[in-house]
Amino acid sequence: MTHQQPARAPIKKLFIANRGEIAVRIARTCRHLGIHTVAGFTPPDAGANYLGWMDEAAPLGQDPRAYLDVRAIMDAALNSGADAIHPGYGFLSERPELAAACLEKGLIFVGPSPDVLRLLGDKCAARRLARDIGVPVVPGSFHSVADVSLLEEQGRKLGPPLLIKAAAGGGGVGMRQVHSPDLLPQALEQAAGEAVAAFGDGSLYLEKLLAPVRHVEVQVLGDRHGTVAALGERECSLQRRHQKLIEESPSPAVDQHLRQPLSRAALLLARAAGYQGAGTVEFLLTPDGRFHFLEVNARLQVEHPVTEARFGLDLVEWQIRVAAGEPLSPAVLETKPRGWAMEARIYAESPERGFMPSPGRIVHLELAGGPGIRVDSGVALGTVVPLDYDPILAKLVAWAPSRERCRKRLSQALSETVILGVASNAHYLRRILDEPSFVRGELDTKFLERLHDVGLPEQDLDPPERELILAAAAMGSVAPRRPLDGPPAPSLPVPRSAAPSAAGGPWELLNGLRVPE
Amino acid sequence: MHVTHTFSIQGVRHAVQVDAQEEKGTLRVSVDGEQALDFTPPARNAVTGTWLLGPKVFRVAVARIGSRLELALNGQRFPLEPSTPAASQGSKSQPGTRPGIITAPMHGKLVELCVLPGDRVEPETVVAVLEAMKSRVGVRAGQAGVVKTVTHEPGEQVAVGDTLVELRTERSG
Repeated sequence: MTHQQPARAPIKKLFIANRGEIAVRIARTCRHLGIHTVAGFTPPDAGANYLGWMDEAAPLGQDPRAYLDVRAIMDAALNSGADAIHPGYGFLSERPELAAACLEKGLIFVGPSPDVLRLLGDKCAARRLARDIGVPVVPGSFHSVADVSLLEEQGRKLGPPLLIKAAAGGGGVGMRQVHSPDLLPQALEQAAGEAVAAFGDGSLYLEKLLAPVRHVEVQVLGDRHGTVAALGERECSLQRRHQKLIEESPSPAVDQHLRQPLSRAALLLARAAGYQGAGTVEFLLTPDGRFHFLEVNARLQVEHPVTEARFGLDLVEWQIRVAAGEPLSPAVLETKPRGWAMEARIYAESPERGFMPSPGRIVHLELAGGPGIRVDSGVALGTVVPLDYDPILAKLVAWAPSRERCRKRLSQALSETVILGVASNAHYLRRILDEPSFVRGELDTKFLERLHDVGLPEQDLDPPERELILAAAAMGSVAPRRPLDGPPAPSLPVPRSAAPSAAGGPWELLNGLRVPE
Repeated sequence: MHVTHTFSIQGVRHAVQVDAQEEKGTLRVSVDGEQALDFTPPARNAVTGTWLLGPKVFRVAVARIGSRLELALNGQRFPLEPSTPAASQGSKSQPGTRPGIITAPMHGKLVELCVLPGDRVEPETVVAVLEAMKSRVGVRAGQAGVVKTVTHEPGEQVAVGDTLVELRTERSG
């Protein structure tokens, strides 16, 4: 690959084209490196707590979707005088257009070159690359097509079960499982329709649906001088609707005999693609101990902290260093991983209500701490979680010498986490960690589906917890309203004496609330 | 002097009676007429904080959001359906299910309206799709009937509780 950017260009001011916890994550590293930060923001994020971590903030216009607008991002970045853009994850992070615009305007893009993004963004091209260099690939198509009859023919040859994927897809959109050949034509039509609606491109490709399967990925880091490092694997099998919930490193299923060929395959691919920056090579691991290349995520991953915890590295720092032209140092190339790390993603969603998203204002917040615990969060007390974006509130990362101690630490950290005002999945995550099959490390991508079929055990509510909850609820119903709680609710009868200015509290309220017997 | 409240937790309705024990600074709590327990709240005016039952500690956080009450005990949240003493009798209808009215279960953008006036729907029929935080949620009719009116256009933002579809049901005619 050719690099038109200067070999070494110190970054003085970095524009963060992202929001929330990952914007904070990037800003933290920039503080360490003495780099000035500026974050673009949309109207729903105006005044958001996470912006306080930046040195500057720049409005991106009136459109809440501006994080996806290359032009808005470039205008704001150039106006701010930044010399580099970090795209974070999601949004424009894997879009060649932003990387190309940076190149054109002389800004450093903290990520791979536009050519690499184009190559790896075409999932079938990435599959061909893997096949051509001898990396095992999930069986399926090597070219995406919009012609449904061609796909039908391919599908008949592959045989069910199949996975239909949109060439332009991501995050599960346009993805469909087919378990019977009779249902293939209809599923193809539907998937094509969805893909056209979502991406304006109805091209599809097919993969054999492998199950049961583990999702295992290798962290890679490449510099601009052709050196690529593989930094261990992460197991990300715990997913719900293609959204990862709990990730860990190492994978309980990967031993030394498997780790070596897995890392080598990831390195081969990254080198063949000319990869620069931090990226992830994803594989599916079948019970026979074989791995199959899935795709490359050409960006920093949400779950990068588990790798950082084991390797003692700051991946954002190295993203910035290699983007500025620095070679990978022996500190990166020779570092050896230690212990076990696990991450739990805390989302603003309600497991009790079918995982319904839950935007709103955070009115009570307690986050975890202690040895071996790291919290990456973009929220604070009073933060309004907008409905426009990803529901991630925080990531809890635990490190310990062994998997079992790590699991217990993470479980403990989740129990310390209290969020009121928006729903959260913190307790649900804790129940997953306590599942016997999770404790044994028996994970696959259907783990959560099976769990939901069986149903998580409902915790019995006995005295004194039951008494306490009801007493606190009763007191909370009549207690003076704190200003944070939002506008008064006319539907809840609050006695006059409950006004915040009233001198009394629940005690006086109780006295004033004599219930005639 | 005491106050009695009724709440539903995990689908079970409980009546709780709380008496302030002025001299000891404790609250005597009895649920469903069972044996009372004496708790020490965090302070006379506080609910959120550490409660004691003898030497045993409990971490409690309570917040009132609109008419809703959210409560966490030792890091676990318990959704509560408050029913005031007055409202505790005879309110059989579930919140959000009024005959003939299908409401938005969450804030979000209406991305798809799946029914037109005149369409017949069953309780399981998905009448609309809402999107928030990159998730799509199908809204089921929850009742049978014939669509009378649809009140929003796709692309509009709706708030939780907003009417999406009005039905002619067997009862409402």
